[in-house]
Amino acid sequence: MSRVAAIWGSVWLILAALHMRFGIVESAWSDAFSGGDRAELASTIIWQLRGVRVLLSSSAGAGLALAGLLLQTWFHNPLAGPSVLGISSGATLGVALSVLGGAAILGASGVALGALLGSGFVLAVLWAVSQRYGHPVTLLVFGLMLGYVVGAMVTVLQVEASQEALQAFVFWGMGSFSRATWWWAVFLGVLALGAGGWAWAQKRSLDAWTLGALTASSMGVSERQLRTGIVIWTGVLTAIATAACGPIAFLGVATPHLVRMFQKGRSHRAMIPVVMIAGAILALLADGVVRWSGGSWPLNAVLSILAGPLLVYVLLRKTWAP
Amino acid sequence: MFKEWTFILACAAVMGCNPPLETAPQSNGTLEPVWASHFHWEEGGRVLVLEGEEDLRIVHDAPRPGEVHFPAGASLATWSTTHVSLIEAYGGLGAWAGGTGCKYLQSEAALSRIASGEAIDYGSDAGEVLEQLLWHPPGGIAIFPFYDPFEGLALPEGMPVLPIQEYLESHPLGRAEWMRVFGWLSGQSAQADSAFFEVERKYIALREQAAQVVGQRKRLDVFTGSIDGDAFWAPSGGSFISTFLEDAGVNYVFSDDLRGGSIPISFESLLHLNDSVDTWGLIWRDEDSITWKEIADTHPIFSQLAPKSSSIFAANTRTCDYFGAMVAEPDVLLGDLVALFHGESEDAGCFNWIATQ
Repeated sequence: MSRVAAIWGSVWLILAALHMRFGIVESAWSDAFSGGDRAELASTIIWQLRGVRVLLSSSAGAGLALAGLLLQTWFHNPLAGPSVLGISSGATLGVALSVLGGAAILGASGVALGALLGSGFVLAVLWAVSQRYGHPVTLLVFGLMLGYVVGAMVTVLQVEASQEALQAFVFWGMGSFSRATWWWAVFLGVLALGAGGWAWAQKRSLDAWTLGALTASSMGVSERQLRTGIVIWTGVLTAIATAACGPIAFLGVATPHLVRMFQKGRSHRAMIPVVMIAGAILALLADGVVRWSGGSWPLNAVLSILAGPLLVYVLLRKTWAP
Repeated sequence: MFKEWTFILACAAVMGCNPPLETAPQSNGTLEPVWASHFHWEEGGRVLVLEGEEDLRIVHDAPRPGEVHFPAGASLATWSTTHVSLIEAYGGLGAWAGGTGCKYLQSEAALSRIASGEAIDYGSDAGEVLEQLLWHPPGGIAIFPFYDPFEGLALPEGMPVLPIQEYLESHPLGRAEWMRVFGWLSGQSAQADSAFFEVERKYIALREQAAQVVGQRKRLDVFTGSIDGDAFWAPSGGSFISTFLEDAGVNYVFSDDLRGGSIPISFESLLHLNDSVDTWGLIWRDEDSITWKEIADTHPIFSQLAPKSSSIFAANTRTCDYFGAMVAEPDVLLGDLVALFHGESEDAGCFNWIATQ
């Protein structure tokens, strides 16, 4: 592991430890290790609640940051991120349909199922389109248009929704790591690691792609294979992260830029592990602010406040280079 | 004979464990609430049924299959500040374990219990609420049922989650009658029933008073609602606020529109409507007192909507606990509206006139 990755990893470890240490039940940490009457309960709070939340936020952050890096590389566009392909919008449509059609019956499971089905549908359409029209710009425009159409449909559904359904939908749209469960956290973590492994295996192809399609092709890179892998992995990561945590803004777009500010190496060998760890750090930082506010500040608002100025700074400094 | 007496005594003992309920039971032992429509009791009051997609059957004594045990008087945490007001209305805060969203709480008695450590502010973040529920477990938690904030999360074993659907009641007395549910849960049915029927008595007296004051006069034509997006949304007829206005002796112009939910009204229609009504009203939040200029500044359409009476009526939710105490005390709110519309008070408690000139 490079020295830079080790530093980022240490920061993540410190933040994760702080998340586990501090919480609304202040004595949980000391009680967990005291061996007293409440040690078992305190351990449950630390591992089953705080620990699983750390794992979910880190997995989502790492996965979405990796998706952002892959899409920025593929599209040669610094503003590309998991939302540009319309997958988040698909999840949002699925949830809107679910909330209107039966959230009262299915509850949170119905919301997650709606997000999965909606994003899965958009992903399938995108994959089919990418096989037929492979040019990155075509795919980018298609994804954006799909996002607009789906967004419009969601607006219509919102207008027709009952007050209660609308409230549930709005809360979901704010994004949150507070409903963390082991199942979602582990599933997303395994997916993020799987995607990271795939990206690592493709690091030379991704580096070649940054030089342009023709150059990459002359270096033996299969455009079709690379495109399919990127669409599938980023799509699945976005879909599962959205189903587990709601639509998470900015993480995917901002994290690669954050890493580029701190390290000179632009190769994917250098970028992939650091971007994933940095995504986990950004997610933990944002969740820390949410927890500090007592849960009253929406995660997406905190992320936008943290990452928005950063993106503007990067664009003004023109430090972006794939 | 011995068996029959044993059976009667056993029934009396069982009934004795359950607090008295003032509603007369039907022949099958079902007790229906008077105004509410989303709960009832069965077996002469032994089982409280909270209605929903799946009814929840709650008992104080040994549960049978399909029943949830909630000991009478066990502490109860709440997910809504409205629940706190319903509990406070019959003096039941002693069994209130605490609640979420306490920063919106306006009840001084409840805030005082939190400050003294007798009740807990469970917070707002679902994960941290769960942390607190594990550390300070109440006997149960009352939630909004339209989505279960704890689904998929591991609540303390055996802690019942009680879906409280008071917000679905369309009649003000229906919402207030949910205090009887909280009273039953806390083993204080007698107090809760007494408090509710006193509210009912006052409400009906005020409604009759308003009808007498209006007499044969033409009622004021009014509407209310809020702007969202490109439309003004007015509550439909038969809704909570529609009933309030009708009972206060004014004519809510959408009272015959029974489609449910809110009615979208285009801004053009709104201007046309404004020309034909006497006045209209708003629920507003302002850190100071509400002024027409502030309202008019929030949306261009408002500046065109000064009614011919040169004043609108508004409730400031900062000073008026519209979503809390006013749900539990609809008689107080109705009294305000009657005083407001029929000239007995220039400075009503919750609603006030706001001059538009």
